[in-house]
Amino acid sequence: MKKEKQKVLDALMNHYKQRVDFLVDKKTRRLEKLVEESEKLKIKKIKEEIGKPKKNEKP
Amino acid sequence: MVSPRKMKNPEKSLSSSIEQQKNPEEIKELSISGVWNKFEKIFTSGIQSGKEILNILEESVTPDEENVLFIEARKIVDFYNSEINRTKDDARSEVASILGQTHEVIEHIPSSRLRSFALYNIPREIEKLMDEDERKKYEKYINLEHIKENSKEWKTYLADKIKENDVVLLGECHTFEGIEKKLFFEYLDKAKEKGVTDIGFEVEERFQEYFDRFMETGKFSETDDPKDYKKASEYQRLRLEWHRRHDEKSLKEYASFEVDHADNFLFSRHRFDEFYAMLQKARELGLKVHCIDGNYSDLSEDDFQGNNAQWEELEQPRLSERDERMYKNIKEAVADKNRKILIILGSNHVGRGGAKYKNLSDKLTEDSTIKSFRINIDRNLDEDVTMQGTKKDLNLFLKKDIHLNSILYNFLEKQDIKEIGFDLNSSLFVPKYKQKEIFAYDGYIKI
Repeated sequence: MKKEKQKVLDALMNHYKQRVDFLVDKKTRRLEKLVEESEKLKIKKIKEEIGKPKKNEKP
Repeated sequence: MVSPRKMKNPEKSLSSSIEQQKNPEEIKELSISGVWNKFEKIFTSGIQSGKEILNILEESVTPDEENVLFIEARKIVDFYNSEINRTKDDARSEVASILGQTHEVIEHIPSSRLRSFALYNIPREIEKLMDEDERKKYEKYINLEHIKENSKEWKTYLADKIKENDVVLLGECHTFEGIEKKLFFEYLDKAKEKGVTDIGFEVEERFQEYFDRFMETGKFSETDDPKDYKKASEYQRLRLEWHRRHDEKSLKEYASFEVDHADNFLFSRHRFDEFYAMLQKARELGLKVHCIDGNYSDLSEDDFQGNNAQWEELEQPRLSERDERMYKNIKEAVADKNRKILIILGSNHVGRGGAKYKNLSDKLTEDSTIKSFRINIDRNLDEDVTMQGTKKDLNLFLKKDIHLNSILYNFLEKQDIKEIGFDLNSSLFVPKYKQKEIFAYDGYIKI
């Protein structure tokens, strides 16, 4: 009986691990998208800055 | 060559094996703190995940508009961490229950147990999993004489309920075998004869136009070749084989069928093949078909991950919207008082109190303008079933002493009582036993 319970508990733990992995995966993917966006913004800014004439530089 | 010193001593090996069997760890009482520590690690690491990404974002933000990204990131982290914490609470109570730290004295059946009394025990509701000994404690309260006197052959019982109500909900357990749907299919002739004008399925309402087109023309979409529809049963068989065996051969057969029929509506939306025969029959009988479910599948297959049960739990707000839409669609279908609708859908929508929010059944119960009745179709789930939406390793629960079957099913099976229907109310229990809770379902059909 205890062995059976242990089996059920192991399966339950596996089940919850999968659920947490699933949540972590979703959380990570959404955060990574934000990092990507942030990178894009950085690049955009750098491009804009490059495009700007430097101070004291004659056009 | 193995050095003799390194060779295992067979005698020693045998004795250590015996010792291992006697290992106190093996026979030690399972304590909640011992078990729970392992579980807790999973949740702690889950909550901690994402911290590094958050740090990257925090470092990269400047005081201007990029702050929006960091605020968004914090919201995401808070949301998923609260989901993980909620999951943790569930796990805690499930572990306690498995270790027998609750429900020790039965003075009345707790509502969660009462729900499982006439409902399958699905793995995600592990508190309801019971072994044979525990089941017997509940079985002694069942009034067998009452069942014998008040039950009818299931088709007659269902016909009576259709006659008395505008809406009859039939609860099923979603399995790849679709046993309840096959039963529903067989019953359609009689349903029509008893006054049913409409039938409803747990299909998203955005598919209504395709179903309507099929009822009108015999094709779901212009490009379909209806001859292909006849392959629906073959497709179901291949899907089932794959889900049962999970081997390369069955996957190849299943996948190649999908590739061959990728443009066909029925097979490109693989959940609909099981409805095909019913739609065909409904068409012949002139029944109106309703896709009653709310639209929910804007999530990608990726998000879905083939784990329906898990997904449904995660998307609680979305799920409550679905039940709201189901209720509205049903109300609309029977707005004309001459119409009667028979609907088959997942038991969790059919049973009262099946969710943390008001589900379809709760809403219909509150609506005094609609006469509704909910019946759970109960059947053997312990043998040879492949539940949709659960991962394969959970099939462990289908073994030996741990049953998926409801208490009532197993009890009736022992008495060799089959194919009956009866009302669920307090008379089901022996008089000396006072049942305080109400049943989630009004009626019960055992097949």
